[in-house]
Amino acid sequence: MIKLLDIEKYYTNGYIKTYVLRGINLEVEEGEFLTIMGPSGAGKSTLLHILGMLDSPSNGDYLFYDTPVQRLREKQKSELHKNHIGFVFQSYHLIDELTVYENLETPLLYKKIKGSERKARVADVLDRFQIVAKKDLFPYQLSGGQQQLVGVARAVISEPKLILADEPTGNLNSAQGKEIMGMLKKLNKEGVTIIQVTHSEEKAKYGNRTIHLLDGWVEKEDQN
Amino acid sequence: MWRNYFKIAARNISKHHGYSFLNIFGLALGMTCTLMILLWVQDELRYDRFHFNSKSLYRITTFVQSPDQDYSLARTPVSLASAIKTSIPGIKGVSRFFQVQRRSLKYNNIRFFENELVAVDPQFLRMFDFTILEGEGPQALTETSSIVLTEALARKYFGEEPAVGKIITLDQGTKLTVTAVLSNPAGPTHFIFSALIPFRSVIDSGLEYDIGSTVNSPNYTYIKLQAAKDIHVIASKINTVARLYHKEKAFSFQLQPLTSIHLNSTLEGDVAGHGSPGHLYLFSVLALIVLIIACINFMNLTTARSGNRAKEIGLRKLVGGQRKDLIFQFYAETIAIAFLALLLSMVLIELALPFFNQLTGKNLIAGGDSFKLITVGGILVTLVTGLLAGSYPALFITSFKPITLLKGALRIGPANLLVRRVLVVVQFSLAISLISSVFIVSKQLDYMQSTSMDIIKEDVEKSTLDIALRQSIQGVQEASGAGENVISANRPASYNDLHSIMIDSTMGDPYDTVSRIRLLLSVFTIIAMILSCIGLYGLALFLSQQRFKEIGIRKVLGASMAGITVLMLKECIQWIVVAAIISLPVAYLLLDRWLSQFQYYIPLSVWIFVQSTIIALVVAIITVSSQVIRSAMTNPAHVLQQE
Ligand SMILES: Nc1ncnc2c1ncn2[C@@H]1O[C@H](COP(=O)(O)OP(=O)(O)OP(=O)(O)O)[C@@H](O)[C@H]1O
Ligand SMILES: [Mg+2]
Repeated sequence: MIKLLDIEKYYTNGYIKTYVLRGINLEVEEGEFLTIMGPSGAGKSTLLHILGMLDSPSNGDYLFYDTPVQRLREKQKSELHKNHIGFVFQSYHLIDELTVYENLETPLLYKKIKGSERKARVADVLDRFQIVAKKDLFPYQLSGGQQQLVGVARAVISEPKLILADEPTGNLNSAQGKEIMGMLKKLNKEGVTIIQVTHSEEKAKYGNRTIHLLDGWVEKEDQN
Repeated sequence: MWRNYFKIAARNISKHHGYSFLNIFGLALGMTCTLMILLWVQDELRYDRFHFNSKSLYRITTFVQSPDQDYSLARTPVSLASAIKTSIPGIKGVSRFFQVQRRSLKYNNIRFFENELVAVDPQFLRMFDFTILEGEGPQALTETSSIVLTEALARKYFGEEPAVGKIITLDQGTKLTVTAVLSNPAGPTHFIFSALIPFRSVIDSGLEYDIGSTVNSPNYTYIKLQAAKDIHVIASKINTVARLYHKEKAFSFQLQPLTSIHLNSTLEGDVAGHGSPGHLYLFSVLALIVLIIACINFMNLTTARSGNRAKEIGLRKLVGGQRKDLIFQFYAETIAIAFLALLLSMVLIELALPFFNQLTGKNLIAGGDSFKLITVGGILVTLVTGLLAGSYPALFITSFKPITLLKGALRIGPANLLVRRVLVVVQFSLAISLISSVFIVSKQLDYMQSTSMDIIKEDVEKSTLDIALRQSIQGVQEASGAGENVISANRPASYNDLHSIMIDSTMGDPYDTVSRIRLLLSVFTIIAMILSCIGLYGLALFLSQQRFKEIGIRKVLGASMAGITVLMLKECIQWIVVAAIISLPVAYLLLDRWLSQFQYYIPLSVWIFVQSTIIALVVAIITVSSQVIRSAMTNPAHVLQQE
């Protein structure tokens, strides 16, 4: 599904190049649950953003289903976001002025899914994540865990093939964290490919493979 | 999707309702002014166009060559009409319009002096399309003892009773029968009258003394041409006929299209209350300035808020929104908000129009053609404003990568703040220019009034020539012999007669026009000032929010309330001084151009600009002071707790 070849990422500040990622070679098969670990500043988020086509590498090739991503146009990337990739962030980014229901509905609106099917899918996801009672509340009226649930639900609703989660449980207590991880594991069992970033060994165990980043290099790789 | 866009727009409006109110109300106020000025301009341009044959109607004017300076008169000798009526093919109708001075009309015991009594030829009602409300049609003036009243005058004498058939006494004797009542004309007209009497009755009732002063008597001659007649041919024929009887070439007659009389007439002795391209220019510029100030407010307040939308834009991109969807959403949203302002301004126009009419002495309505104009003009303004203001979120913010937007890396940077400061400076430059204009225009108008007496004296000197002209026309009239028995003057016009005529018919109303122009200019300047202050208030609000923390820290470090106040005011004063410096050359050039249209004008003085700047400063300081005081009284503990 995903192939990274010699990916490099650096930022230039004046004449100084600061490398964030170097020589990253990575292959991810469909249906995998991959964990990225490493100390703060190692480049985990950067790698995830590149994988999600939110950021582009400075050098190297990225093949998504054998399509070279660097040759995709903005519009095609946006099509991929719409249909194949879902994102979950540490700080549960939801649109503040929309209710839970409307936040979940928004991706489907961009996919131009008809009213009745849209309603059915939102209802289904609300049900699966057990947040039916919260559907008319605004994000600020929810707890952190609930907001993150909505975040995952929104990532799931467009039935993506790949979910990218950047410290999805970072701001949550352990019970809430477990709930979110259980959800991701369940989705993975249903066939969704998942790549998560975490600092926690315990959360890493939900995946079947872990890569460790250090100073932009892949330091080691573990198979669970 | 529309519902999604609508909800988020509506919730953002109510979440920041203070901003939203300033935003929408400010734009609505600006639009209201601009659209009302647009109505006024349209009205000025539409004078006398309601006559079915307006294109073939002309007024004959007199061009006088004199040793010192040639000049044109709007008036023509009384006898000219009868001379040309039958002898020139191509002229379908001729009518005089003779302003009878101060006569009394009496019905039962009601007696008033009427200043707007006018004697016309019976043709008048056939040539011009004044709508008959009651009574006979165009033949209403065929009988010598008939009188036609405007609706207002009919009400004045007869109340709700039908006017037609009633008998009115003119001065001490002549009985006149009301034959028709005219309703308000279908459009603006340069003709001013409250009652029409047949020209013949002027002679019958012994008013010949007024006729006697010929071109200095307030007589105007109108003709209606056959369609597609060359006016140069007709004009030269008129001159040939006139010259048959008089060989001297000191004067000649010219034709002036009816529709250009109101605006383009710079002739002497013209009917009162005509407009001027200068005023049209002045008010068009004014409308534009007020609109620019209001649009800047809208842009400023919209962009200030759109920073809050960065996260939303990032997320929408993330879940599959394409840039074009987002561009569309933000343009649609700002245009919709601008549209709300348009709707509000429609209500405001409806409410303000009676006052505006009082100010302008016009009878503008917001219906019919005017409604079309307001709607088309308003929608145009809405689209332009919406597109300009929407460009910042629609084009700039959406251009970033979603991740940049989500990280909150897109802060309102110094560049953005600079743009906003520049916009406020532009607003104040315009406001200061306007205040200066009020002073200059007022001074110029005062000056013109004080010199008008001198102009009258000049006119009187010209009257010597007029007497020669009169005598020559007498010749025309005697020779032609046709038509009315016009009796020529028995005594030449004395200085005093001329004086009173000039005062009555020419000098009286411009005084009114002058004070109206001044009042209008002041009202719009005050509105422009209010709008600029809304902009400044928005900026102050924004800055004090940004500086909340900075001020807290300064206080912890021991800054006094006075110190903080000075700090905040310095910023405000600094930008207004910049605005004043920018406005000076612009206002100078514009006003210089405006003044140059007058023969005599006042010098432009820098002190007027200084004065204007001080006024702007005082108003600006009052505007921001509430914000400044709130900042200065900030409790530092509270600020630092929030961190
Ligand atoms: N726009 C940028 N310009 C310069 N340097 C950047 C930029 N964005 C990220 N970096 C640098 O890239 C490095 C990696 O950042 P990244 O966010 O990927 O770290 P991370 O592994 O996710 O850390 P954490 O666990 O703290 O989230 C950091 O040293 C950061 O300073
Ligand atoms: Mg990170």
